[in-house]
Amino acid sequence: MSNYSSYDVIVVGAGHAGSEAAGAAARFGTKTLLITMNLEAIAKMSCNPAMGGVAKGQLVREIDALGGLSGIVSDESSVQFRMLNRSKGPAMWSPRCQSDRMLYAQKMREKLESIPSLTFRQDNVVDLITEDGQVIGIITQTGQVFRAKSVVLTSGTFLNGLIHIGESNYGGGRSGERASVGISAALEKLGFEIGRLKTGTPPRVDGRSVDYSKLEIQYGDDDASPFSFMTDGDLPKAEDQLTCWIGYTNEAVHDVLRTGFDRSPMFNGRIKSIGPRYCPSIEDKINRFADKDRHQLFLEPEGWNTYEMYLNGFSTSLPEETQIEALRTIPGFEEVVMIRPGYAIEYDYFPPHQVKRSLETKIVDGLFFAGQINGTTGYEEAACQGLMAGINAALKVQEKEPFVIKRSEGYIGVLIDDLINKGTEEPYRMFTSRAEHRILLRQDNADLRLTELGYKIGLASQERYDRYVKKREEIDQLHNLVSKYTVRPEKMDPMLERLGTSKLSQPVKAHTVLMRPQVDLNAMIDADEELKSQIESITDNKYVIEQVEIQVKYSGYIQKEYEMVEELSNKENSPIPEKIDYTKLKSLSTEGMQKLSKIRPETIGQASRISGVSASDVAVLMVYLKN
Amino acid sequence: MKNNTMQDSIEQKKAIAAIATPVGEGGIAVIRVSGKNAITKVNSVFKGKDIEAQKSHTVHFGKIIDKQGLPVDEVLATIFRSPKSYTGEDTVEISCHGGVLVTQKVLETILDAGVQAAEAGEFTQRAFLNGKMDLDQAEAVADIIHAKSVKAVDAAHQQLEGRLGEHIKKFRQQIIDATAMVELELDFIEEDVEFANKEQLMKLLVDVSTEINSLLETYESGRLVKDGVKTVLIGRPNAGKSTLLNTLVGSDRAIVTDIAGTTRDTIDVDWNYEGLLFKLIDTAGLRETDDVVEAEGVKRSQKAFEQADLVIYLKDLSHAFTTEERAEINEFQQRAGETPFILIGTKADIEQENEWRTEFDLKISALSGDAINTLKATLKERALENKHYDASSLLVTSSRHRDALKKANEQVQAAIHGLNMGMTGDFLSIDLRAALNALGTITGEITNEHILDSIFSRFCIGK
Repeated sequence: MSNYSSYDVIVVGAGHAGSEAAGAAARFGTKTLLITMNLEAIAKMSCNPAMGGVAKGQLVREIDALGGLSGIVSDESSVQFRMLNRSKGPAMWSPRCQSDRMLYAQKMREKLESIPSLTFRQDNVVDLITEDGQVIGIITQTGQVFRAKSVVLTSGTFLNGLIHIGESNYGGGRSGERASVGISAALEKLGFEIGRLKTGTPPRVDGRSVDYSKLEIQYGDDDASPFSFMTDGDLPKAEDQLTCWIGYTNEAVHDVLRTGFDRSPMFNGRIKSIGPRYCPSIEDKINRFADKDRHQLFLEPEGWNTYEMYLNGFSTSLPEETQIEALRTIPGFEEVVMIRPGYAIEYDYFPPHQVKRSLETKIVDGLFFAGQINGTTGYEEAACQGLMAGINAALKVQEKEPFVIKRSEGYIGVLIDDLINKGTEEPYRMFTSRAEHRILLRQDNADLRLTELGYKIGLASQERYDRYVKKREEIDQLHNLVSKYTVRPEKMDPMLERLGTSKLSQPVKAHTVLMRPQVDLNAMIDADEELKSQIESITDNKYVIEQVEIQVKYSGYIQKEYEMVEELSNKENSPIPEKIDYTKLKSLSTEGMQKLSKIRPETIGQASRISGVSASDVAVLMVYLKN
Repeated sequence: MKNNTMQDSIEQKKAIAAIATPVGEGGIAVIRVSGKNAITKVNSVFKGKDIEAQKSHTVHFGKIIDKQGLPVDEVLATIFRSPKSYTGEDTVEISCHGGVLVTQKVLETILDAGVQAAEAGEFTQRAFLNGKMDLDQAEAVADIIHAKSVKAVDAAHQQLEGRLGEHIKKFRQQIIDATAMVELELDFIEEDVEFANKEQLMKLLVDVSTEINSLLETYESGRLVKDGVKTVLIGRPNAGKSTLLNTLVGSDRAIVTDIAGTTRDTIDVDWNYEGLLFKLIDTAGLRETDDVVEAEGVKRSQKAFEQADLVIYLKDLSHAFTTEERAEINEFQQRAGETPFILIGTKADIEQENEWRTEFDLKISALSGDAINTLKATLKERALENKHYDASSLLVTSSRHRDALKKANEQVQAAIHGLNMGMTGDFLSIDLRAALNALGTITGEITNEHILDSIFSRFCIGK
């Protein structure tokens, strides 16, 4: 031990999970060290240059509401904003942005560097030091030892990463970067179960070599809303944003791709691990959906100041010459210059039943896992885990109770609960359909759901909290107003008629008119001067108006969902002691006993979601715990 | 908003109901209803005093009234207010007449009023969780719950192996596919896949609803097979009811004499014919009487008639018809409504001339054995008419399954309605998931993953 340094929290890895983890832990005032193999690659977008999307946008909003960094950084580095699923109900509205890859990394680094108690170091961690089942530090490849009370591992695709392109493969964590060797073996020695996953990425091309006349253009939104509840003012108009482009493969492209199949690591057995079904390689798509004669491609800009473009939908690990030949067969890409080839990458992960709800491992005290190491995929999925692991690593140092988000409180809660109870055999991505309380977990109310929690644990700033309190009060007042204010037929009828809905037969309360699908609050404001001035005296915040509108319009569904949450709350709030010996509960079914022993749920609610644990097992457990 | 009564200490869960006495032909059966609004819900089907206004630990006489407003049974309702009850929750115990059919019907009426069918051991579990049992009993209770559920699981398993299971799995898959169609457009809006059109989705939902409905219709015949065909023999005293009964069953179960009114009470006999159980109920006759004991018997006969699955009216052919008799037959036939009604002439061997001879379904002579085989076949045929009965066809026999299927169907209907109203997929999905949850109470499977599996296997995702 040539050098000796001591920290409260060490975060290993500085991707999207690592950045949030380090940022969160350090803002608790704990002395935090962020170690990464390459300081130039902080918060690097290894795959597509975009944040958010369906379910993922909700995650970013939640990260922001708690006081995380990804939302603000996304807003500051975006080249295009869109709100997806606008035509659906509000639970489906999902913000997404295209990002400037380099700007994103730069902004994140700036945010992290502004936190006083955070230190950076470029190094490669090769081993963990533990004592009596407790992590006490890490060792780097140069033999340096750093001690810490908590360690957060966010290794991404770097643990024993193996990159495949055609018949060649080599160790690497990402295009142009080395893999990390050592930690996996160290963890295995400590008793961790290890697994292997696969993911892939498409080629990058030179935008100057593309014939855009053969592609469809896709603009951003004019009236976009930001990710962060702290971002003020209007976002750039659509004309001031960058555009994306849509193209299609055809049978000729597929024929070219097929010529490389015999040298494809996917098909010749070199790649054995499982990749995500919802993000298949182009060769996989052609193979599995042979009757489809074309596949959609999205050409996305990598930033304001670069010609490099990302060809979404063309993920491949075919030989490079097949990649370029196939690319040049795509309409619009006849002259294309490929800057980086696509590749597949295999990496180690640790099946997530090995972590608790706090993301602390069950085997080693003080050791936390976040991101792809837990079997997930996606920046947003990684970032939210990083945030939670960072928070809990700091709380652990401060000897406080772990911070857990429930399934009914946020997608973050759904994600972690799914991981630890169901495990995952393919890279886990968030979908809205994974959330049973989807109607409650909307992007518009992420602050109302989570900011108070973030503030209470000490992460969300005073300014953020004050904003939230003001918004909540205005919402209450406005809600109150629309349920008491009486609107008259003579004011409303012309508007109602114009919107194609029936006229009023008598004066009614404003909220009953607002409940009509065709009517929005702004239309009512325009129709009634008095209502307008009363609303203006309450708020000038368009998100307050939007919030009340949603709450009134969908009150039936929202109420029904709250009742279901209420029904489940007893189970969710009943803890199971850590030391319970399931083999002593003779009445459990054999499978139930095995699963409970393996996963060791922390609450009755969690136990009830484990596959193989029956309702009667849960009943037995409840009875036992009352004893 | 908490109320400040003594109920605060106990959080009442959704009301549940089940038959609390052993299944069988006991004198009295008890149905227990426990949970939030249990008293209000029972009150909504109870005709008598307003039991909501009654004190705890009081007993009230009244009738259980079904949806059509028809009386199901006369009952005694005992009120227990939280926390002073077996479960600790608001509880009503309904004592009704012990027959399987009546009891089942009372339970169904209560379930229809918005109460859930209780799971095995659920009352005991609630009682325990609400601290109504001491700690020593804990392990014993756990064992009971386990034993019961193992039995339930076994039964469920057997059923799932069989044709009911196949159907439920099919419904489940159909609803999962419909949900996947809906979810596809929600989670994968950016994908280049063809989204379900409204007609396609509508057809799928209507199909599944129709199929669930026809499965539900088998519940009635399923119940007949399980509980037996309640067959009521009526007719003037000495019309030969007891004789017929003895002929069918082959023993002197009923007392047969020539003195009218010998059968003073209803007499129930089980008779099995080609795998179908008949519960033959020999009534005390329906004649007006001053004899108190006999009057009671007449009253019971009337009631048995009301609850019958099959009515047999016997006419002694050795006496000529009277106008009064003729009116009585018409009246019974009308009152039987949709219940199969068979008019049988007895003592055909000593038949008197009469003008209505063509109206008889059958003429027999019990003592001489004429046409007895034809009679048996007729009974079976008429008992099962319009009941979709086929020995090999599938049958829903458990009211828990009926409950689940009914709920699933209601939710599918809600989705159909939503689709017609132009609701977007995120709202349709709420109904469809509720339908899957309802079926899940039979199959016990988790659904989120299955929906995604369906999407990934059918659509090329990954732009």
